[in-house]
Amino acid sequence: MTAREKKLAWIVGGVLAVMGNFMLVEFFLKNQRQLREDLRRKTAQLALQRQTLEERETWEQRSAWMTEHQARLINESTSGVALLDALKEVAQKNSVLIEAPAIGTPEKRTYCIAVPVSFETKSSWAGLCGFLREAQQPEQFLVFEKAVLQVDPADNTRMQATFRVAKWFASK
Amino acid sequence: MNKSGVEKSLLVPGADGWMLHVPGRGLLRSFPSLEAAAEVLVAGEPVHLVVPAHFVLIERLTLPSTDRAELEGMVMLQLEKTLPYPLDEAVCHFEVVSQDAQESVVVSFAVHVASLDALCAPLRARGNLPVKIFLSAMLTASACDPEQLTLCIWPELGQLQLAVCQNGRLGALYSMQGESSLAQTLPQVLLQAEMEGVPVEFQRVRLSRQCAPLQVSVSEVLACPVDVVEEDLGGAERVHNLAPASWRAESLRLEAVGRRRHQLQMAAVLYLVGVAAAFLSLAWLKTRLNKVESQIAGLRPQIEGIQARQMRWQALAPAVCPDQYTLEVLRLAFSSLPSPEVKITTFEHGPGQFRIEGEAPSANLAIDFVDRLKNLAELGDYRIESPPPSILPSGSARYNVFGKL
Repeated sequence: MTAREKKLAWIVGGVLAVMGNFMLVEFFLKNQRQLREDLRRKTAQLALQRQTLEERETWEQRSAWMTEHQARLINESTSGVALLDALKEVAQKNSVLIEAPAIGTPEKRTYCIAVPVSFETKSSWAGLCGFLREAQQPEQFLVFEKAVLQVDPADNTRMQATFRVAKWFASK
Repeated sequence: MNKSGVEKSLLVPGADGWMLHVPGRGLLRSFPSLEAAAEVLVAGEPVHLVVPAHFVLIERLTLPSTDRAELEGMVMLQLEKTLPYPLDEAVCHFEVVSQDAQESVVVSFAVHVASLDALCAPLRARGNLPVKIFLSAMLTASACDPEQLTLCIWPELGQLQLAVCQNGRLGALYSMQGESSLAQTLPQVLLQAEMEGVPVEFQRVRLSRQCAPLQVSVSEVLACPVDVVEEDLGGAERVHNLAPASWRAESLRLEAVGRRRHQLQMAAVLYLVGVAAAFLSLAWLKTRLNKVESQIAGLRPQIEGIQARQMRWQALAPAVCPDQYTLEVLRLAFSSLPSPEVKITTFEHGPGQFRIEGEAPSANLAIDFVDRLKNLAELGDYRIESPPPSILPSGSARYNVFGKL
């Protein structure tokens, strides 16, 4: 090999070595970055899982409480009427006048079966608060799916409201 | 030991052939020829070579006493006259054996480069460049007591070599055929030496181990102690190198190449270790990741059970969590009113959301009300938004607040 050929071979070899090293370093850094990121993410996920596990008892208790207290829908046709009657009773007790009552169709949802009723009310401010307090209690699984409360335009001392109330029964 | 501190293999003419001395392994077996000895060397390894005495023209000269530079000129002039080949085809060297006020006794050494080329051809063909070349006699003389005139005798390629060692230097060298006739020949050699002005009043004789049987006959001829000594091949650094300058330059170049090759090898090893370490670190990271993933996978069934309960609870939260009840949100809204003059005219509520509409005497009070709602810890889970209040013709402000879980 002549000196010129040797020089050329060194240059080619050097360029190949630099390129090879560049690719190697890039491969290493890319993989290392990816692995570190994965490790950080998975470690955080594991920590979150462990924290969730520590709360397992709480969630089991809550689940058991719901299973125990959430009513099951026995009769779809009478449940709406029963709910409206119960609400009328609470309204009467708190001097709340119920108008335009309507019973909705039971709806199957992911975690419950909702039996809705809707109505309008006229009452004093204190009466409305009493009605709201007594109507919605944890063990009743009653939800005001829509409640619009306004000062009665005809009488500033009274309140008028529109409600859509649903009782959430346990899914079958 | 050479300059770089690494000992090299030494090839020495023995009694009947060539001996190879390897550092750390001592003398190996005798080889019939230099070619045979060369074959056991590592190719490319530089060596030290002791040339047979007949390759070197040794001349004892008596010159005027002067400095070394002038002596060198005189020696070269003398060699130019006596050498059978041009001076520039030889490697020349001289040593001052003794010097007094009147005269200097010097011994010159001359070796023909062409002869060396022929001798070393088998070595050089294998890349075993002789980086140092010298005579056994030079090494032997350097090992002698400089205070004693010593005669050293050893065998070399079928001949006996007799070296007169004077002041720790080689004073003269004679070769004799065979050992059997030493008792008869030695007196003649001594007479010849005396005639050449070489002192022969020896205080000691050193016989090599191979010449031990001659101890008695030598003692009979010379009335001085005769010691049988082991051949000492160390101390090559004490004697002058008779290798041609071009060989020395080539050896330096080869050494530099060797050093560079060694450095490159070290760099390559370090590089490979680095690459291996890098990939091991990746493997370690991957192992850790796999371990964490397997732990996650192991916990997944339990977690999925808990998450199912959480989702159920959150879905039913409007029915079972009092802090999401209509009355509770209404209470919080009223408790946040900054002034009795700020009124709520409409309140809408549904699962997970609320809207409040009202009027305030000023925009500042309306904004203050919205800020209070936003800062309320009980409504912290709600994302509360409010467009800027609109100013009514009366100067009061109408506001709207939206909250969503």
